[in-house]
Amino acid sequence: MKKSYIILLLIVFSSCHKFLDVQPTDAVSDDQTITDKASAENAVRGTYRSLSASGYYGATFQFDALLSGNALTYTQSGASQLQFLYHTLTADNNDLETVWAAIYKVVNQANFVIAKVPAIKDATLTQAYRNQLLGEGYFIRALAYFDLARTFGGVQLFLEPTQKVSDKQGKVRSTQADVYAQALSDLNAAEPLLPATTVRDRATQKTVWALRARLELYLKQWAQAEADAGKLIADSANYKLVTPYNTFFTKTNTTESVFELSYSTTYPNPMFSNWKSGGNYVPNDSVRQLLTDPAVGGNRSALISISGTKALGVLYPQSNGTDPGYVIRIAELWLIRAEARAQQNNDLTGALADLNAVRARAGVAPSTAATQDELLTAIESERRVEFALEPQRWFDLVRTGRAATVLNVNDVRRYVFPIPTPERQADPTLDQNPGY
Amino acid sequence: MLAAAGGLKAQNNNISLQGKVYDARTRLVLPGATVHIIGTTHEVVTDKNGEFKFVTGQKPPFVLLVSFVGYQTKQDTITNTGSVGVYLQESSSQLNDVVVVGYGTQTRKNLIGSIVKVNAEETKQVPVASFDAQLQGKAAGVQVNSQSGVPGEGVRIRVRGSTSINASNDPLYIVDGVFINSNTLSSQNPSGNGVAGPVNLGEKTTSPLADIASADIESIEVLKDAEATAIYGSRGANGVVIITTKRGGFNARRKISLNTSYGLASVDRSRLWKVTSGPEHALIANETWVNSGIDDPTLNQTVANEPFQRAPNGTWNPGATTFRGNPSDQGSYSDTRMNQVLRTAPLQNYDLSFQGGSPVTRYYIGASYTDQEAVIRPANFTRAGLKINLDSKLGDRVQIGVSNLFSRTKRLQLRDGNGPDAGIFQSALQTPSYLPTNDSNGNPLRWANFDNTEVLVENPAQWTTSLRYIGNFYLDAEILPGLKFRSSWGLDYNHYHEWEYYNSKTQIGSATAGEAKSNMIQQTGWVNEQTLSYSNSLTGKDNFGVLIGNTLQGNNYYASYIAGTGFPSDAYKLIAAAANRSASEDASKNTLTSFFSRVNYNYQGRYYIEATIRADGSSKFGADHRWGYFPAVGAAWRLKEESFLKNVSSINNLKLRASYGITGNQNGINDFAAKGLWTGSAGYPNNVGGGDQAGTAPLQLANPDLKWESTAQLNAGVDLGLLQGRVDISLDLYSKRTRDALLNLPVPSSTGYTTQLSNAGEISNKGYELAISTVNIRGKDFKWTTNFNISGNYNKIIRLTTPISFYSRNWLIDQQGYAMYSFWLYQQLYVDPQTGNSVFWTADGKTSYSPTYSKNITLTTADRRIIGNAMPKFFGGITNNFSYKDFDLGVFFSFQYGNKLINYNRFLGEKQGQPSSGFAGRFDTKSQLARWTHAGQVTDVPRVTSVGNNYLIEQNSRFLEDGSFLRLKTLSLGYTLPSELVERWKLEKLRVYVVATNLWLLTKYSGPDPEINVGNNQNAPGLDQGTPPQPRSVQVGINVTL
Repeated sequence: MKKSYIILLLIVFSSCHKFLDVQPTDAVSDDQTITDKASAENAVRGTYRSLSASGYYGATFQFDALLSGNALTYTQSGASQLQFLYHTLTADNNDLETVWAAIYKVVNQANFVIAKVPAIKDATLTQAYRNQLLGEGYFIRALAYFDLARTFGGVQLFLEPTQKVSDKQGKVRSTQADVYAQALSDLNAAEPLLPATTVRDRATQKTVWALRARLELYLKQWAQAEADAGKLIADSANYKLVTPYNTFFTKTNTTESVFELSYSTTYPNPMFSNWKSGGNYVPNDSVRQLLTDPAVGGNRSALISISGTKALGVLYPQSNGTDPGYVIRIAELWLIRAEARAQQNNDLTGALADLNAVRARAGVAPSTAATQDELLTAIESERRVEFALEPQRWFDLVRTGRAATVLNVNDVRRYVFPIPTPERQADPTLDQNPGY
Repeated sequence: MLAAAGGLKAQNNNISLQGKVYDARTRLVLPGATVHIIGTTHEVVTDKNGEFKFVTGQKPPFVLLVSFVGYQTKQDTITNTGSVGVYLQESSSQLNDVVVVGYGTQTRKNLIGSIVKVNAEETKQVPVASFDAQLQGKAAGVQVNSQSGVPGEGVRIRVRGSTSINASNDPLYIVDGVFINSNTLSSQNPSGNGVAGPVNLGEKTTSPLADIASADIESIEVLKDAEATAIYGSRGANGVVIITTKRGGFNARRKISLNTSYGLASVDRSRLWKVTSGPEHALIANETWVNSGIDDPTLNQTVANEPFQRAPNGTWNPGATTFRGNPSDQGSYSDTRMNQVLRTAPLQNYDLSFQGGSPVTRYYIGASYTDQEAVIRPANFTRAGLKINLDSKLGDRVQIGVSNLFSRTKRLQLRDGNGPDAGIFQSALQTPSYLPTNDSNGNPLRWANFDNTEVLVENPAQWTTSLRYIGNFYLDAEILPGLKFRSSWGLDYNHYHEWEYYNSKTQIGSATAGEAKSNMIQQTGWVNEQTLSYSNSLTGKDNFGVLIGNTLQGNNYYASYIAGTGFPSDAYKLIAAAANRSASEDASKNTLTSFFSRVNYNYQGRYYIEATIRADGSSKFGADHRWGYFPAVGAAWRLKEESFLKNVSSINNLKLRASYGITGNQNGINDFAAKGLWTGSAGYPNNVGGGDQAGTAPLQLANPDLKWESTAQLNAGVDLGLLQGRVDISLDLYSKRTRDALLNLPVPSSTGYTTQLSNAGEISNKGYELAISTVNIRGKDFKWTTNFNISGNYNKIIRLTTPISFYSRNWLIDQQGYAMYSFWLYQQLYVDPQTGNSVFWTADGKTSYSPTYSKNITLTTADRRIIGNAMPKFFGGITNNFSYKDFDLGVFFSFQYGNKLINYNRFLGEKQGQPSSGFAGRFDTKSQLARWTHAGQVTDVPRVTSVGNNYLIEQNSRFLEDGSFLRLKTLSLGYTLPSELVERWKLEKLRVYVVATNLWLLTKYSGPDPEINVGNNQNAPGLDQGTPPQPRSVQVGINVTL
């Protein structure tokens, strides 16, 4: 017996190393990712999934913008949501940190794709497909930096994937203009790489044009915006306003959708539970009045369901969370072109026609706006109703400088949100925005 | 004192020995005393007449060792024949108590380390589900807080303070040599409704220690200093709790014990939060509306459109968004809701045990059943347990044995912490009082994200069952005299099933036509251990011992989750009937291998020295950092044995102790924390309608430098015994310094990650522990003893590069230079009597800062400061036991001083009628009525307005309250029937008793229970939200031995 124990002890000593080498079964190590065609595809799909995460397009990012744009009432107790509504944000607001982290997570994933896809050695990976995956990486990074810039102003620009924490510390913030420029440059890089197909939940060349049209509006590059928006409007076989309005969210894969994020029962859209009866958010009284006014909302009243005196948002009706998240719709491109034309003041008729195309679909009478100012105001109002439950209005009013007039936000420093406190604790080189 | 001449009779080659054991004072016989021949494995227990008898192959002279609980152990040499009579002196001193230490036992007088032995008989009277909760106030240096009034939920236990932020702070629990899992198998990171994953218990967790019935516990030892714990190396940094269960006696007569009790528990309603009536709530809401309108005219809020008014035609509808009626029209429904939820809850307990033994085999079989209903409907806890311990001698030198614990616990649960939907206590307390419970047709109504309380009570929705086996097999062999080998194999297997079913009547179920989850979780821990020990008296009183050993351990965790939504009707409850189903899995594994050694030496019982070392290799760390080495040394000097004290009769014990050592910690961190990982849970389609295809995303940044957290501890203590052991005093001072603290260090999120587990902090704990036990009166009939202990711990974060805040709204923060669990608040200095506005402390020193009614806030996070801490300055307990003839009375108080807590329920109840949520969000507490209303008013509740800082600055210091308390934890009265009477009934002993708990509470805290905490997040203590208080209870019981 003693002998057997000595043998056992010897076995124990010699096999210690093996005994202590335990590997996970539900995750793989860094160096096994983006090494061949399949792993590259996986990484790209994973990047879209992060784009749809609840901290980003899934919920928080959208709701923060909706609250700031005075569209919602928050039904829970919590001053952090009220801070958006009242424009009294403090840097320790939890939502800010959630959004910041969710967007930068996407940036890092896109950086992985952009850095590693070109170097893959895999004969089954065709050049066209390699380009497509790479182009999707550029597109997603453009969207993420665009959103960071319009939310927080100039942020730190990182174009390489993170290998260790110190990679991302000690970098000075870029200006907001620089970040927009980076987004534009990424879109321009993506454009030739992506195929000119129509896929509504992945990036294609057409998706690039659509996002670029929006970005150009923010950059006040009116002619370019008009041209890019026009490219999609011209592709009416694939992109067309659907009638009535609610078709785009009650049916799937409609021609309305230019870029949407896909959800499933495995990855449910958090929107349903936020909007449902007893959920966190309800459209506020002013939005309810606009939508239910037949002369203003028309058939867009289908965005809310009225029970008694209560209104519930029903843009995401599926209780199992399988509704897509809408990022860009063709209606936006009509309104982008309308605005771009009105701003250039050389084709007011065309601008009015674009605006009325959207109004006609909603079943409201054509606008009679005649002057440039009238048109711009009409477009602003139209965007509020057309995108009543989509996160556009806050950013619209900020980019047009109208937030003071419309929302009574007189301190222009409040046009961007503060840098979240934990970020500045983790990297002291990160300056706070003025006024916070 | 050995009265008789020999009791030996030759029988073939064997010798038969018989005798009798008596109490030296009363001359009464002592049944149950253990008689052992030193140098053999022979051991017998005296029968009910105090007689013993055994046959031995030993040749005289040999040494008899006679021991009995509460008596001094006696040792005598037998040389000749005749019947032996042994007279034992009653012991009031604990010097000769046997104390369990790491891999062995020790008599108390020879201890070097700091170890508390807890009297299990006394603690098991407290009617809580798990033994750890029963330790409160009983052991110096051990802080115990039950964080909920629901039996079987997590308990917060800290031995000598908190040493770690992200690794575990729980002590290591060892049951009969098995390192058991004390981490909950319920999760604090639940998945969303309908999504496969852990169920949401409202931040609460179930305690896996509640699987163990305290009836079977013989003793509990808590090992505190490095000298005592370093032999457990990497797992000893937070202290070690050793549970020894009952075993039979060799040659002992069989003994049957039955203990049964029944009781009732209830909430002290007078201490619950006072809630406004409906009219009061409405009045406040109107006032807020109008005040806000004055402050910000753009809001267009005036008396004309205030929320609580009737329609022009005089009609109104409670709960509508307009025309809810005048304040005076409102009803009050809070009491109705509370009455639906609270109950007087029955508690019942049955323990039955059989023990005894033949000369070569001994047994203990215990069966127990506990059924405790919670004071909030519908929660309850039941546990059925079976304990089988067997030992057998294979010849004179080898002994084998097994310990087996089987149990099944079942809990009917509910969200009793945070979470408005399905949160039961929260819905009862926090639904605004003016909102009716039912509509005019009697249909239940729910409001503002709270479920209807009656619906919740009548449609219980969450259950867990835990099947637990804790077992151990050992083999002891005495290779040479004094040289012992031991090998043991232990297994801790836990099969845990949690499931929920929210039918369509509940809020969660109504959104999705029923929602269900069913999760199977398996946790398996195994340990194999070999030790070789040698112990010998070198010359007379000198003693030398050495121990070497190794262990191998592994832990496997596996969980499978399924969820479904969309049920045909409430009659279908299985996910098989759900229209939408999802599934997921989780698995993890870790291994640990260790080598350890201990050497001790004492010179003539005067000078003691001991050194231990343990080497641990853990799979959790990278290849270069796997091994940690944890040494400790200790020394003691028994001054009483020196010539200058030997004859001082007033001092019967004086010992100085000192130790220093390093222990490690790797518990509680993710098994794969050092690795850079990508998750596969990131699927996405290739095109619309294409269905999810596999996707990957970065999960965790590699940290190849990750290594052991280590805690160096210095301990100095003195033990003093006075007046023949009538006074025992033990004082310990310690200083712990934790380095390389395992920490989820926040990293810039621009990395794509939010935290990285790193060795990034240094934490200090310094403290004292004083325990005094006295025999105040020791008369013939009347006896009075007192046990008192008090401990203080001072925690400080010495180094932390980034402050880390915890819980939503960042109520708590860990920051360099401050104690852990500090509250991080905006300090309201006062409410300006002229304007009614909160005046806050500001960083720039303008303390007279007065806010203007501006939407543009002027306070920033720089104006938040650390105020108060959730940990007490000192805590302890005092127990007085009285006995008069056959009556016994126990009075036990526990206390805690200097801890603060956020009255989170009051915070939610002082939100000026909840304007943000259409005036239907949450209740108002009565305290809101003290708001400022007129110039010159002095109050700390500011003017109600939704504009400005008064209520939008949420982390207001006025919600921080003093959580110090003195609690009459238990009061027990027992009567043991006279033995002449019970003998007539063929019984050995019969005792009847009454135990009452939590009868009285002294505290400044305005909520019901200062120990309550919303969840079991180790970094977020001191938040009283939505959780029922610990109940008061009265139980009657009966103990029968035959």
